[in-house]
This record gives sequence, C-alpha cells and structure tokens, in this order.
Amino acid sequence: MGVATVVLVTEPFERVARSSAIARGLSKLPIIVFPAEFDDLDAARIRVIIDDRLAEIESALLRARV
Amino acid sequence: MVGPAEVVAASAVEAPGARRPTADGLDEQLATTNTPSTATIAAARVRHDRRVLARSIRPPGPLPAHATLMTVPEKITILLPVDAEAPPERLLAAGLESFRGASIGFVDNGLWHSMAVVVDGLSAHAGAGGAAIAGITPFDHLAADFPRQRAALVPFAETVDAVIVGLGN
Repeated sequence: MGVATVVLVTEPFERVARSSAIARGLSKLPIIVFPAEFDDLDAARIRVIIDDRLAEIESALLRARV
Repeated sequence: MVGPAEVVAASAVEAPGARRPTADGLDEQLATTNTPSTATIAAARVRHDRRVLARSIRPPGPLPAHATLMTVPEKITILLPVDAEAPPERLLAAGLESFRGASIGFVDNGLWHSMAVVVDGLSAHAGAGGAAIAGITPFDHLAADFPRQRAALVPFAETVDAVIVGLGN
C-alpha cells in the first residue's frame, strides 16, 4: 500500500516537514535536508550537491520499511 | 444651567486618590503623591492637569447606541495545522528492491528554482540503475485539506513505484 517516498527540503523547512510528517503518523518518513542556500546556488553547484547525496536518496527509497 | 467653567472647576477639585469613571468606560485613579493641594488644583482648571496613576476597565455596561452588534456563534472552530494529539503511527510503503525496472516519479510544488537540476541529476542516476522516469507532477496545494490533497495525487501515485518530493510537499 502506498508508494515509497523521499522528501527533499532545505534546512529552513526541515522542522515543519518533520512536524507535518509526525502529525500524519509518518515519523519515519525519509527526509533529506539540503543547505538553506541551496536554491540560490548555480546549477553546477546544485548538481554537485545532488551527486553527493545520491546514495542517501537512493537508500531512502530502497531501504526496507516497517 | 451649568456652564463649561463650572464643569471644569468641579473636576479639578476631586480628592487625590479618588476614582472616577470617564466617558470612555474607564476608571481613573488620581495621583496621591506629587499632587498639588486642593487649593492649587482649584486654581488649575484644565482637565489634562490631573495626574492619572492607573486606568482600569469596569464591568461591561449597556452598549452605546452606535455600537455594532455582531452575532457570536455558539461554537467557534479553531483550525490547527497539526493534530492536537499524536496520531497512531502509520506504516510506510515498502521500499524498492532496486531501481531496476522501477517507475520513479517526482512531485514538484513549483517553488524550487533548483528543481530542474535536482530532477535531472536524480533521473540520470535512477535511469543508470535501470529505472524508468514516470514524469513530474505539479503539486501546488491541489486541495484545501490533507485527505483531498492526498486524493488528488492518487492518479499519479498509481503510475509510479517510488516518488521523490520537492520542498516538503
């Protein structure tokens, strides 16, 4: 039931994202946090950060969930 | 008939420390220290010379004739963005065995300028692992409440095995 999901947020939204997830009974929802200035970076820098976090994002979608 | 001068004089000779109601529904307590003598007060016949220590609100009386009467409902509903009590924990969907053969989707609320780069990077990685990219669905408060928001995403959810959500959707 449902779809494996990973949520990407920037640091300022981490708390609201986790609070929202907990409020929905989804405290174990994978949430990946990027730096606050992430959206202001140039494309090359964003891509570097994404590439650095690929394994983490993939793991969030693949890992066994209970 | 009482003229303005007598009215001013009457207010000016009030005893220090006395309380008196004002026209705006407040009580004023006159200063008891650093207050000129009664004789001096009588000489100072302007109202703003009275030193007021404190003001307090009296119990409500009849509304002024010009007051707007509003209907107050018996029940007031206060909406909170979260439940007052922690809901029961829900099981997450099972994770993928691998990217191979999986259909990956993105949910984008359109607030991230960087989302295009994020999607490109993740799509390339997932594609290299054998996944198919199902597409990107917009999410910009599709409905007013959570159950309807979730329902609005069901058609897209039925096309994917896993989803990557941008900016805390």
